Amino acid sequence: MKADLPILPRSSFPAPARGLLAGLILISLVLSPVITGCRKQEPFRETMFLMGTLVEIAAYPDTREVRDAVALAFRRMEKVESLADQWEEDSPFARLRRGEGSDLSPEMLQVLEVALKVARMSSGVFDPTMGELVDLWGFERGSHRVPGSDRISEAMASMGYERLSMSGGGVKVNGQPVWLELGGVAKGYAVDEAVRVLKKSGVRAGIVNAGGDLRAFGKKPGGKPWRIGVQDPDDPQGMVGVLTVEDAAVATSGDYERYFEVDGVRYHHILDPATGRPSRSGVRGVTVVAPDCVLADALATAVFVLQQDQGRELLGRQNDVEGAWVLEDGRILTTPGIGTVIEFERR
Amino acid sequence: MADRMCLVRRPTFWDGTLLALLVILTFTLTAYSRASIQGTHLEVRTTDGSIQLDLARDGDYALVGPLGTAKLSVRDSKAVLENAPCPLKICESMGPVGKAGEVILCLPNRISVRVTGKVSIDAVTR
Repeated sequence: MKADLPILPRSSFPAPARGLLAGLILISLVLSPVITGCRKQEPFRETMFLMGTLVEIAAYPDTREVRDAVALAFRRMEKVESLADQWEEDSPFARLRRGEGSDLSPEMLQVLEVALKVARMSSGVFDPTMGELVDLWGFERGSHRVPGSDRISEAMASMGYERLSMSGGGVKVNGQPVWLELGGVAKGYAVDEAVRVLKKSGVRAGIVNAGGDLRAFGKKPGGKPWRIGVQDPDDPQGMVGVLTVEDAAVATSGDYERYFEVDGVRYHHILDPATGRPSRSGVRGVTVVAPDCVLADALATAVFVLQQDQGRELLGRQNDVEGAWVLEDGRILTTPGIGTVIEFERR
Repeated sequence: MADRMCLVRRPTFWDGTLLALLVILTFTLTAYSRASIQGTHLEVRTTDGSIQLDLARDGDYALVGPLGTAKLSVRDSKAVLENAPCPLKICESMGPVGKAGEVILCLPNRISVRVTGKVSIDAVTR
């Protein structure tokens, strides 16, 4: 005869409601550490106006040491900015404009070396001696104007990267004045220097972005690569695609950031050394991915001016360099290796 | 008497649990995806430093730079720059902004307005 089991009173709380309560508790236990963890994985971000643009540095993790490293990186960029200043009367750049040989700083010599290398590779399409022409159009000093043909011809007569030679830690010219324009390339160099300082300070992952010329290093928490949006030339807040990169620099040259309009004609700041006027190669923007930002910067400018097949050929001769073009007709062209080196999603 | 087939059974404990999981997950994912698109604050930087503004609070703010004063107008969680003293006024056409990561930039007057919040990209090349 079976013993009778005690009859427990039935709970007045219905079973489905008990299930709901159990589900709420379970989901809270699961989500709580996820949400807390997500907050801890935000980088430290700081911005500063430097080199004529807004510079942002984002670095992981957000600790006192990383914040100190970011401050050091900004100081290094300020130093590069002062070395690249061409308007001071007794600066090396001013002496070159007077036709005197000059001892540029080691930093600017490095920048000039890369600039001359790209000038030679591009047969002068990128020319670091375009300073007078750039100043004539007023892009550097904010006094925009369309110069007359005579003035353009005069300014072009002062150009010519072949007249420069580097020896003994200095720059020599053949007695004639030369106006160096290193602004854009110096910005890329400053980005590279900031990354060097961050890495030396022990920062394991970060991104330095100087107005769209940027360099990312390391991996974000979770081993994720960096996602870099490529701005839509027709929409300041839109993107034409997203690059997925690791340890790479990205620079873009475009006709939509610095320009002025006169009588319905847009004049942008990327001048063609062959004409002395804004380049008209059917391109709205060129994005170059390279191992360092100073090279990416110079190549992006050169490739913007070149016809697309010539630009692809130039990039094809470089190691670990890829590119993408946004054309005037809306099409996007890329170098063949872009799918293997980085991911490019068209949106 | 013919048996009637009962197609609806009585809800059990596990039905309640599953319902709770579905409701909470749906709510969480929706909230997360909204948060990753709509910004929450504005980080405004001028030569005087930076401040943070609540994007949900309507208001007008005077931003002073080397060229003069621009007006930052915030309405319905969107911000736009108006009356910019710079020569080309490119910054006025960059707004309105409201999504996390969007930026209005006036380089001549050294003013930046960035929408902060969770973003799906780390940086923009332009």
